[in-house]
Amino acid sequence: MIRTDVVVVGSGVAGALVAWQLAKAGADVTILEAGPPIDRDEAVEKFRAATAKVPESPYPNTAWAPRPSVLEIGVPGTGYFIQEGPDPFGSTYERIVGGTTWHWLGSCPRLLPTDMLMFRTFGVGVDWPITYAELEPWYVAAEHAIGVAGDDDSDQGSPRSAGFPMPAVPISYLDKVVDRAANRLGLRVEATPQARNTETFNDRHHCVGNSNCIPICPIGAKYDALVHLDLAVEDGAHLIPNAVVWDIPLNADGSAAGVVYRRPDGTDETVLARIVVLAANAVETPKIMLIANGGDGVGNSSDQVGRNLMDHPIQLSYALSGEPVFPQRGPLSTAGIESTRRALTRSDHSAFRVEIGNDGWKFPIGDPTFEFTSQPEGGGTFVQLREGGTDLANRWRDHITKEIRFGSLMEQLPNPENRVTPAFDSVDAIGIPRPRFNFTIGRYVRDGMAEATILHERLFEELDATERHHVGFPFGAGHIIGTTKMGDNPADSVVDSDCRCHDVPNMFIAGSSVFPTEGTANPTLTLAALALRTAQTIRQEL
Amino acid sequence: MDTQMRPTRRQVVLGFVGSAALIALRPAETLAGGKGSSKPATGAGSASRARPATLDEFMSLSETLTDEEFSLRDEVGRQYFVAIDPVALQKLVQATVRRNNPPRTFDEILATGALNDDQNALTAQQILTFWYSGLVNDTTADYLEALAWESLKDGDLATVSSMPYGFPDWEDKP
Repeated sequence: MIRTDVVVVGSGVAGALVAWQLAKAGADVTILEAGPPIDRDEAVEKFRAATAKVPESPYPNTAWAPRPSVLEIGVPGTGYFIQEGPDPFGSTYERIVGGTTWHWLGSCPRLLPTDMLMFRTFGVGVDWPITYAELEPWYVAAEHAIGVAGDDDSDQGSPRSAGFPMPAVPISYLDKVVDRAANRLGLRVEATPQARNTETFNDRHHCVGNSNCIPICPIGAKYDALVHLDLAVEDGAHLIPNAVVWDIPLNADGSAAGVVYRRPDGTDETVLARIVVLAANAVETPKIMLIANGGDGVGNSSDQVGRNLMDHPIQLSYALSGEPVFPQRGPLSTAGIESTRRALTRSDHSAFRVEIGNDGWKFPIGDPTFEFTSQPEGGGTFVQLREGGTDLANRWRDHITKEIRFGSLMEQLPNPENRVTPAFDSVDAIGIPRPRFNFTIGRYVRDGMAEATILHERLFEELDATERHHVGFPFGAGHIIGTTKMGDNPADSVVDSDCRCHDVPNMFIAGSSVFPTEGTANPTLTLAALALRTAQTIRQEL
Repeated sequence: MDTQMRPTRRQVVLGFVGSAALIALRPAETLAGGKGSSKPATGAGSASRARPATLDEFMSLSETLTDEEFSLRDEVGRQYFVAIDPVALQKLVQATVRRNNPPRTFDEILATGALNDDQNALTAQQILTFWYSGLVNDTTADYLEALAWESLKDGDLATVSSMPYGFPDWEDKP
C-alpha cells in the first residue's frame, strides 16, 4: 500500500501539469501511468522500421495497457476499441509515459469566447459554467508553461492579455501559396499558435523542420509531457509506470480513499490519497469511473459519465497544386484559415478551422514511400508499366512537390447518446474491460463537412489544382472530448467549474473530458489551462 | 567515354575502375574464374544463360532501371532480390544484363525491346517499386534510403526524420 497526498492517474499533459504544480508546491505526489516509459531514439528507430507510418507506429501496444490504432478504426472486430456504431469513433491515443503528447501535432489555438456560449449565442449545444474571461489568464499560464510560439499581433478572435513566450513559427512557402489563393476568395491564411520551440525553451532545441511531428519529433522541439513529468519528479513526485488504475475505493463519507492499480503480472496495489486526480483522457477516465465500485461506478449520479463523447471530425481534401509548393518541410502544419471558425451559421451546421498541411498526402494516403504501394482510390504503385530511370524520378519529383492537403476540423455538438462504456463482457489481458463506443457523426457535422468541401474545392480551383480528392468520410482528429461534462447542476454534469467531481469532493478530473462543448480549437491548450487552474484549486486545499 | 564503356556507379564503388584496363585485356574464360565458378560475367553471353539471376545481376539491373542515379546498397537489394519470383527475374536479367553490350540506362532497356514482354515489364515495375518504397513483404527493407526520398533534389523536401539539424528554411522556396 502506498500513501500520498495526491494521486494523479495518467501522465499526459493534463496529469503532468497538475503533478508539476502540486509537487512544486511541496505536496507528496504520485503519478500512475498505465503504460511504459519511452526512449526517444528507440522510438524513432521503431518508426523507421514500421511498414505503416501511423501515429502509433513508434510506440508499444502492451498487453496490460492496450491502445487503439488508426489501422483498426473502422475495421469491425479488430483492435482495442469495441465499436458499436453506427459510425466508428475515429480517434486514438497512446498509453505510455507522456501520453499522447508523444504523437500530437502541437497546434495550440484558444477557444473563441462564443465557443463557450454556444447555446446562448446559437441555440445549440450548452454553455460552459465559466467564461472565456475567467479562463483567459490560465491560457496565458498554459502558453508559458508548455511553450507556445505565436504571433502577438493576431488574436484570431480570442482576446489576449499577454503575448506568446516565443515568436511565431514561420508559415511555410506552401502556406504563402495557399494564402494568395485564399486572398482571392476574401480569406486569409494565419500562423497557427503551436507548442513548438522557435528558440531554446524548457531546455529544448528549436524546431529544425524534420517534418515528422506526428508520430514523433526526433529532437523534442515539440512540447511533450515529459517536460513537466521531469520537473515534477525533480520536485519529489513519484512516477510509477505500468500501473493500470481500475478502481476508486470510497470512504464512508463518499470521498475517495485513493485508487487501485493493477500491474502487468495481474497483482493489485492500493494508493491511499487525500486527493485523487483523474487525467487518463476522455476514454480511459470515464472507463475507470464506470468500472469502479464493483461496476456501480463512482461520480456518476448524473448518469453523464462517458456520455457526450466528441471528436473534431475532419473533412480531408487533397490534390496536386498547379505549381510546386514543396511540402514535407517544416512542421506538419504551420497555418490555417481561422475566420471560418467564426461563421454565423453555427445554428445550422459545424463551424470549422481549415488546417493547411505541410505533409503532402501523408494524412489521407500515408508516408510518401506508401505511394509506391498504394495510390488513391485503389490504385497500385506510382510506377507505371514500362516507366523507369530519370523519367520516373522526375515525374515523382514533379508530383510530390505539388502535393497539398486541407483538413477542416468540425465542431461536434454534445450528444448524450455518443458515449463510451466499459465492456464488462470483453476484458483485456489483465482483466480490465475494454472501451465500448456508441457514436454518430450526425447531420450537424456532415453539413459542416459539405461546406468545407465546397471551400476546399474553391481553393483548389484558385490553385489550378489537379487530381482533386475529397475524402467521403470523416477522419478522426485525435481529439477525444466531453465524457465527464463540466456544469453547475450536479443532476446533469459530472464535475463543477473547478473540475471537482460533484459526487466525490476530493476527486478532480483534468483533461478534455470536462469540456461541455468543444468549439473548433484543438483541445490541448484549453485542457492545459484548465489543468493549471485545477491545480491551483487543489493547492489551496492541501 | 561512350555509354557502353562507362563504368556503372556500382562498378566504381566495387573498385572496378582501378582494374578495368587489366580486366579488359583478359580472355572471357579467365574472367569467369575457372571451372565451376558462378562469378557473374557481365556481357559473357551464353555461359550463364541457364543460371538463376545472382544478387550482382539484380543490382546491375536495378542500377540500369534507375539510370544509375543512386547508390543502391547490396544489403537492401538482397531483401528485394529474394522476394522476386526467381524465374521472372532470370528472364528479365537474361534479356538485359546478360546481353552482349548490356543496356546501361532505362531507355536502352526499352530500346532492346525487353519490356515489350508483359512479364518482364511487370518485373521491372516491381523492382522499381521495391527501391522507391523501401517496402517488401510487409517489412521495411530500408526507409532512410528509399528512393521516394532519395530521388528528390536537395532542398525539395525535408527528406526523412532524425536529421538533427537539417531543414530550417521551410518558409522559403527551395
